[in-house]
Amino acid sequence: MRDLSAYSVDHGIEIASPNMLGASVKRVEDPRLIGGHGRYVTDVERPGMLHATFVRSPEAHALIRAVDTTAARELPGVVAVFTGEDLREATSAIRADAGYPTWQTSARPILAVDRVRFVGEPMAMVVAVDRYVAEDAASLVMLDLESLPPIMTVDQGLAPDVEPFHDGWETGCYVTRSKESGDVDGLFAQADHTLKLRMTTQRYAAVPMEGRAVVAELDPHDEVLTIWDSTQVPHLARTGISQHLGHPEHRVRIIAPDVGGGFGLKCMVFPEEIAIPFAARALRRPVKWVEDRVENLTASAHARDARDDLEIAFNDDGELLALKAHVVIDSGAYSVWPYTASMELGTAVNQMPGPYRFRAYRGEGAAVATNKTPHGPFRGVSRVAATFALERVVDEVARFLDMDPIELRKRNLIRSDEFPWESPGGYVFDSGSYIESLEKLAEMSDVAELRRRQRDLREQGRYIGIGVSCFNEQTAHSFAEYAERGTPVVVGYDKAHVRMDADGKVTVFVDTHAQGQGHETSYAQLVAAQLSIPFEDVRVSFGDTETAPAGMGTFASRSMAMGGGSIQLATRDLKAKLVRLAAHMLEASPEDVELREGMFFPAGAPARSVSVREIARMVHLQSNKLPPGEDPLLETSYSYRGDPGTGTFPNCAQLVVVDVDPDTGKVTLLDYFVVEDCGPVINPMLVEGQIHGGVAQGIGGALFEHSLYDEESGQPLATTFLDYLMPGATDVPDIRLEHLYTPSPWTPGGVKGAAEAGTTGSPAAIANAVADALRGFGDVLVDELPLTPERVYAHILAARAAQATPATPDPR
Amino acid sequence: MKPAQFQLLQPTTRAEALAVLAEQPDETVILAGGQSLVPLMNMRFVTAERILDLNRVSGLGGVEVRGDRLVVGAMTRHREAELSPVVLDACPLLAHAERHVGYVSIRNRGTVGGTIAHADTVAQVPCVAVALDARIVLESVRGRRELAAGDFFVGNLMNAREPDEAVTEVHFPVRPVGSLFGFAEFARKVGDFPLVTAAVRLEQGAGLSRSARIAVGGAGPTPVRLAECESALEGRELTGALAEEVGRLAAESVSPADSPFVSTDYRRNLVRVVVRRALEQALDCGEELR
Ligand SMILES: Cc1cc2nc3c(=O)[nH]c(=O)nc-3n(C[C@H](O)[C@H](O)[C@H](O)COP(=O)(O)OP(=O)(O)OC[C@H]3O[C@@H](n4cnc5c(N)ncnc54)[C@H](O)[C@@H]3O)c2cc1C
Repeated sequence: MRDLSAYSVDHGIEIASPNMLGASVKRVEDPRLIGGHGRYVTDVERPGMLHATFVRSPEAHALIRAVDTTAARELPGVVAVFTGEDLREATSAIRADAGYPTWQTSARPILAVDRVRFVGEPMAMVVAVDRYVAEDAASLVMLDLESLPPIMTVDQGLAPDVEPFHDGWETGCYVTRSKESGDVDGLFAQADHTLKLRMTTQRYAAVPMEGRAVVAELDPHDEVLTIWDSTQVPHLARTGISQHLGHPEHRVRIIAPDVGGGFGLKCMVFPEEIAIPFAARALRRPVKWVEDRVENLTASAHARDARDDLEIAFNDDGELLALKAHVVIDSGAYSVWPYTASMELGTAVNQMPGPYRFRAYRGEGAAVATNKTPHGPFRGVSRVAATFALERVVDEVARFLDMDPIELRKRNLIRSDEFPWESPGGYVFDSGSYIESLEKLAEMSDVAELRRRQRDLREQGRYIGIGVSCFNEQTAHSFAEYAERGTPVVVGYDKAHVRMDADGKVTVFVDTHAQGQGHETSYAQLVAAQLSIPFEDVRVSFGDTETAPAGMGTFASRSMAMGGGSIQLATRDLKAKLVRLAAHMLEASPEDVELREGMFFPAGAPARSVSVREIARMVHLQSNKLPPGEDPLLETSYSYRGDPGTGTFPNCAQLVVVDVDPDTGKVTLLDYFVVEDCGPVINPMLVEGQIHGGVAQGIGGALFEHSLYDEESGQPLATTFLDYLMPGATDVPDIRLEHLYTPSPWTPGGVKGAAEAGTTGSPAAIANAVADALRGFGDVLVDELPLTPERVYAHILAARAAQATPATPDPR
Repeated sequence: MKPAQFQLLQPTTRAEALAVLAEQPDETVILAGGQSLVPLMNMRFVTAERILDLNRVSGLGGVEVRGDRLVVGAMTRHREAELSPVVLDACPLLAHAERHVGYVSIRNRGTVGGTIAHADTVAQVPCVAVALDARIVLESVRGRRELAAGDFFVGNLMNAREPDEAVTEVHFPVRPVGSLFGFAEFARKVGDFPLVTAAVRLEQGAGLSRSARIAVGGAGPTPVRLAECESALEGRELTGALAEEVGRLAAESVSPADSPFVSTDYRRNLVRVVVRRALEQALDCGEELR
């Protein structure tokens, strides 16, 4: 059992300007980003800079007989061509191992040696005077490959006689997992009903607007490698690159300038991020590589790709008793650093029971190696697929029992007085408003009226569907999660450094980089609120390992809780010093000093006051006046760790109304409602932006995006936006959004992660809505994403065929 | 994703352009709006030693009515064909179909000659051209000839142009007074390439249809006229039920290829739907005329 005695943590933070919090302060980054003045890695130009391109495997699985670079080297303008053999000694292969006993290791060379395992795997790197020449030369590199049959499905990978995928493998899986709590078999035996369904979420990808990009340059005087890297995690990138390149961390500097979207794709370290600095070091010239869209769609990372077999035990009255989940993840060809190929599976197994009060749970599964692009994190890791699977099953239970799906959920959700809740998946839910958010959703969407409209339109031949999803999700993971996985990097803290200069203005240094989230704004609000100084007097700095404190960076909705938490605590400590100094100057005792609008004064005597600025001036410029024992220093650092618990758990409920075209199966979204609870909100406009963008990304997963492969040849089929469809502005309906504000008892300010809820719940809600609409045709099971028109139309045909067969008894 | 090296040739007159093309026809690729060609070059699906840019050639754009033909210059941008009052009046079916071509920014650049030459079976304008039996004007230093659209499109992304010829004009028949028309497509997203298209035009006498023209795109390597469907309409009153019947007939008369993202059966179903919808539009435009 965990010690939850520290259920509520008092961080001793006092807010002097409450109006700074919960305020939709306009984004300070927008004039730069919207005005076209953002600076991305692509914009970096260095004197004498060379350009690299990669020769990538055209085959899914093959032995490398030879890589002949002779002709390529001879092309004028080519400076160097490197192969896997050239990098074998100078770099180390990426091994991202998890600590589970069933784990099997994989080594991923920076450039392939001996064997290629997916189409797009880098095999050689051409460096030339420009990218055009580099690509000309790349087409001259001759590859001699001996094709091998690829593993293209999880069933092939799970076959007992599968060939070892990586050296020394005994099964086709990176890892298998199982966990159990409660009397699963007993509850299944005594339940009135059980239902077993398979739910499949397709493989798709994060697809940020800006792909990956790297510029590297070696300073010959001190051997410092400066790497401009489009990354979410500057310090993790530094560690990863340093380690695999054998270049010490104190001589590696990462600069992550403006980053045009990440969504999890850029919190890994990729071979290309190591190969480019390698070339810069070997050639002693700056080298640039900017990923193109084909590379992005085929050679970066894919995500989701989950097959979930769920079995649920429930009673006639709608009580959900127990759950069994068997999760199979198609993890692709290699384990990604530092999250490993255990990530999607591990979290899915833990997450599957969701926000419901299951009394027992058995979760198990496998992460299977296939000859596809490696699987990596993407907004809503594992929860998107798990929520789709569980919420579809819950809806099918409601349908079986002929209960209202919202009512069924409400009677099974964890109540707000039951926290902290130890979930059978091993999580500790800190707080939440699961039932309240559903109630609010029903109210704001006027679901009764929607149902009435649905019936009316049905009479006019239209097939409207209403779908709901509700879920909670782990964000701002504490050490517990990664320690359980045993990953190379155990994530669970982040740092901030806060500095006040002589003019009383503050710079905040953090590692939680922003790729669109607006941290320059929201973090400044946190500081201004505590110190009661103008918002404009706070500047936020991140993205350079030379100045930012070493932290874990931005992913898993951790920036506000972890980065923001450390900012709040560092600011608290800075303020404590300001209070002591103010007390000294005011000849009062620190307990009696109050702060308002940037002025300190003795309680009850506002006439005598000293400003934050006067104190700063004294500390920096007239330190002779400092009281004994105080240093001339106005800088504090804090490393906040998210203990206790397993992270903080926001919750969200979504309702969507769809129109299904009976002729074509095309799904149109008519209305979209979201109630989200990520605790107290620092800047509502930013949270709303996160939800809107998240929902749009969820719509992509529900209806459009699919990293499809040809299963015979192993070729990826969606290699450009011609075939990889992304939702556009016209595909995203107006989203109506309301907030609830249940604080986490643990984090500073009670904040929770807000960035993933939109994405996590939307495929589930849309699928439930489509299933609801399809009920107008008859009995069909919506069980696979994406809901392309063709797939939905196939459901319609199946339903019609079933209805035409008189033998089918269907009382509902 | 960078094109291979090429020489860019930018003549300013039609004669010069044709002369440049005649120099090395097999090594020269014509650049119009670049909306299809440039991505193909970037991915090196097309590599050419010489790129002949028509954008500076005078007199290749613009629309006008000559007798019973609407003459559309090859370099006329989609957007102009969509919005021009001349086109709306003389060949509203073309203007109507143009609205579906990509996004506004694509239509501002892409050209009518380009989409005809590109000969994509799912492209909207070629479907209209086949339905209306448009004439494609080809010019070279050897002279000028006209091909019927149905003869010009010989396969998906393949046309009957000789390497030294340029498409200079496309002639659409001027709409007979009182004729009805409709254009429908099925695309997965607004602005995305359609999976199938259908264009129809028919005339009416005493409430009965005649001289119907129906073409579908995306159901085979080129857009095709559907003769059976056309005769099914002959002499009958166009109704919703007839539209559905003809849609079904259309679906039966095509055999689209299977593709990884779209099966034959589904595409066939889409043909049924778009043909029906195009006819329903014709019906609506009949209502408006009344
Ligand atoms: C995002 C996007 C969406 C799009 N959506 C659609 C859509 O929905 N429907 C659609 O139909 N198209 C669509 N397109 C393509 C667009 O319509 C192009 O404009 C059109 O296909 C080609 O016209 P172009 O002028 O750009 O030709 P280019 O790209 O310049 O040339 C295309 C081909 O035609 C040849 N060519 C061009 N002009 C001539 C000429 N005068 N004589 C001989 N050969 C010539 C070229 O050599 C080349 O082979 C889309 C394009 C993009 C980028």
